[in-house]
Amino acid sequence: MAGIVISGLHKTYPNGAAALQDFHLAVADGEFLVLVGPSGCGKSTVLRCVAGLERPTLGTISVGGRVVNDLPPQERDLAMVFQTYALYPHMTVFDNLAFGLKMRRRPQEEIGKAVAAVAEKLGLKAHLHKKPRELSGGERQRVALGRAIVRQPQAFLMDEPLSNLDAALRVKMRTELLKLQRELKTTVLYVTHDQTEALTMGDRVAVLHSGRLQQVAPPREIYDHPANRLVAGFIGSPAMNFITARITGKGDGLVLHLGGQTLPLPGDYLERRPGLKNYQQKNLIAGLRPEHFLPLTGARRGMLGRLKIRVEVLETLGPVNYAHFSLPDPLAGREAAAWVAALDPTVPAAPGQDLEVAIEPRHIHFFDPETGKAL
Amino acid sequence: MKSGQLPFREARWGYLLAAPALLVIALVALYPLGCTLWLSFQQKIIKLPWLHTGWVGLANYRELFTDTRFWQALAHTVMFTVVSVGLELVLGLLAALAIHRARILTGLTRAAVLLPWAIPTVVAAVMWLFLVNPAFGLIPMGLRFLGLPETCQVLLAHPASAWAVIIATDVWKNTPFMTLMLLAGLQVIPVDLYEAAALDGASRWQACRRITLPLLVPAILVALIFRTAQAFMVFGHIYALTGGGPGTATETLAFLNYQAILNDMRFGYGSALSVVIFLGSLAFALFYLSAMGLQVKGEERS
Amino acid sequence: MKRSGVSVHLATVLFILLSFFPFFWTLLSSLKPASQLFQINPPFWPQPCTWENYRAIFLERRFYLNILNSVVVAGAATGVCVALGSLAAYGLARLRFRGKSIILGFILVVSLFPPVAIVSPLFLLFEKTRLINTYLALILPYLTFALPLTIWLLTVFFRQIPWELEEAARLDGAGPLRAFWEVTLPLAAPGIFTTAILTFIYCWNEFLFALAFTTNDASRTIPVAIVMFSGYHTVPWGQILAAVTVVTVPVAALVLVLQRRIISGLTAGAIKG
Repeated sequence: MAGIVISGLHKTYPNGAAALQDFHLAVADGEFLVLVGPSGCGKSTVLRCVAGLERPTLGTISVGGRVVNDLPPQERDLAMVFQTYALYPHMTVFDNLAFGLKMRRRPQEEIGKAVAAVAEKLGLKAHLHKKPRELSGGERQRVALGRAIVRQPQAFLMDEPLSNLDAALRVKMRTELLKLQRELKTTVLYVTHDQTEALTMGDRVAVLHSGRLQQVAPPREIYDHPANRLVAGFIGSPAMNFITARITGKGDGLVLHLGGQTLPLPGDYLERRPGLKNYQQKNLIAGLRPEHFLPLTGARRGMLGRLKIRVEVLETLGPVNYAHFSLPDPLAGREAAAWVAALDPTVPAAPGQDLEVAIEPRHIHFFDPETGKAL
Repeated sequence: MKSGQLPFREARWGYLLAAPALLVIALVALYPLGCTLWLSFQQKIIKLPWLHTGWVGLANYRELFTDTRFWQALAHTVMFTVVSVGLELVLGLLAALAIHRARILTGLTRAAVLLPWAIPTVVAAVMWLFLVNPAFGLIPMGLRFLGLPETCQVLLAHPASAWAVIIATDVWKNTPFMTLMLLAGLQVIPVDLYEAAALDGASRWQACRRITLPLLVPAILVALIFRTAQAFMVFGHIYALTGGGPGTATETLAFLNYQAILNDMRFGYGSALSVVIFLGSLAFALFYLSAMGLQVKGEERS
Repeated sequence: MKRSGVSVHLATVLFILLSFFPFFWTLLSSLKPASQLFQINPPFWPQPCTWENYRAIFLERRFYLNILNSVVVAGAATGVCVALGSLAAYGLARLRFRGKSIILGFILVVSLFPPVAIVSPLFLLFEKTRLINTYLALILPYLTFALPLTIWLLTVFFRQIPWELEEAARLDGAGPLRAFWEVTLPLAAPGIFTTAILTFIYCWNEFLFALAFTTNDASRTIPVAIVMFSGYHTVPWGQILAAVTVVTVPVAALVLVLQRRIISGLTAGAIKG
């Protein structure tokens, strides 16, 4: 096992499109790192550069301390799990699993043992003689995993390996994959567009947007302290609500203007959020996650900011209700911002109903309106 | 993440792999074509070796364009192409719709449909020659049965009926090809479109006109283009069925060209005719390419 | 609903009968003795069956030579085309380089090229080099239409190969050649096979070049030989029909066994292209 270090990676296509710019990422030995971003952000390009399937325009890639830039894929000792699984259709499951070892000219006996062990671990024993087309989606997925595991490579590269599975199976495989990784203690670089996968699976999560790395951090930190508006908007579901806001006043009169309403802020708010110091009287972007709308219960009544909303659509999910509403956004010069609040089902709400919800000021994220940087 | 890099090595391999095939095509097709062009400006009549051989400029073309036999052959070729391809399209479309609806295109019947396509043109022509034989052919037998006069039964002796036989042979041999092409086009039309149309209240006929035909247009175009190009070069039928006769009544361009070269041994004149035929089909091919919108362009690997 | 179902089935059956009947009639007639064959209003079934026509074409006309010629010429042309065409198609389908669409367009134009346009210089050339009546005089001109067809079909087929598999093989430790041999080639094989069948059929059926560049019975291919059976005064219909039957039976078997491949090849060349 070995770590992967990518530094200064640039990738420009001949048509001039830059897929990656100045990309740095270090995956520690044994770490499960998830590279997440919307489709077309360049995340697969990173993976393909590491695998040796694409040549970087600039930058170095090293695996286990060895620079691999000039090595062809077969000498990098990495395994890749493809979104389509890329199982060899003309070979049996056994031959698919054995292919990598055969290419490395391992003795027949060793191959047999290794394949049997992996098949046992993944529950593929009964399928060894079958062709991939006779398998179900989940089984194919496991063969693709097995093919990567059996060789005990330096690291695994996974390109959206779960996105071809149906929803229930995907959730199940998520845990299975994690268990397997903990057991094998392998380094994994995992690419996905699904932020839930990123948060649930990664030791750390790297968010990529438009070919630029936005933030690398453990899931909790990414969620609680997004580095900028792009990360904040991409991670979390439903997505964070944004609106243009302004802080005015001083001491006990400190208030936040947003959506044509005013929320009182604690007097020491600016001391605790020093990043906001230079933004008084100026427009900034306020962000609030849907789950940070609280019911107005008696105990909290005094200490919280209140927001009056009119519910437009109510989605009933069971454990939670999503109330869709719009807030006027006069500071941004636009009509309204569409917001979502996740409400406890015990809060009585119905479409068309006016509602008052509470907001804790510490839950509000602020971003620079120009750069999008978190403040 | 689409398109991709253009590493020098990949491009070099690409050219290297394509080179042998392109070289062979250049050698066996383009080089002779150049020779044809050169010959078309020469006087070269092997049967009359005492005649002066050499550069005569545009004389062959002048002769060609004043030759009524050429214009007649051109008219014949166009007529044959339009009529037979038109008939094949209509019959092929009906057959494809029927087979598609009937869903009985099992192995044996599919083979029966493919068989006329798979045999050589002249073999098909010979079979039809036997069918129309005035003495013991099945078709004149049928005509006798209908009480038609004796002279009508010698089908190949009259220009109109000779053409009818030629066209019938071509339609018999090539309608299956057309049918299979259109059937393949029909099979890629999603069934839910018809279900949606049915829910929208469309009748069968309306569904056919509003959904099937418009969506079948690409398949129809491609099949038409292939067949038109082939029909324009028609040679085997004529050679085996009528030999261009009666008189010159069924001569086509390719047949006339063959006669000029290998019968009359007039290589200069024949080459001029070849060049004209080539230019005609080149124009057609270029038209085809632009009509297809150079699909190849958009099909780069993603 | 019911009524149109019946008419649809009737139309289909009629279409199949019309396609098939001339073959059936040819077969029956080839088995008839001359007296029945040349009879006005001939009987439907041969009574009795005779193999005389078949004996005559093989023992007197040495028709097997023509069959051999066709096999050699079509086989050799197909072999050359598939070998050269696979290389070119791999490059065109798999690799990225400039000028690909121009090459493909050029190939398409050449495939619509009228064969008669190169007969005169080739005849003079073969005459001069004494190649008339040789296999080479047919194989070379056959490449003009067969090679573009092969490249085109193979390019269409190769584009359908999931190249990820080759990438997976590279990561599994195979070098480029090994990956091609172990993974790509087995995946490409069905397409290559289909292309080979179609190319072979087109070469097998060729008439114009075969007519122009052969002058004696022994070097003719099947289509030319059958047409040349007729003398100036007599037309040996029995033998002609026997020869037609002899060459059609293997084609029918081929078509019966390989129909799916043939149709996929026909439509791949067209629908995609």
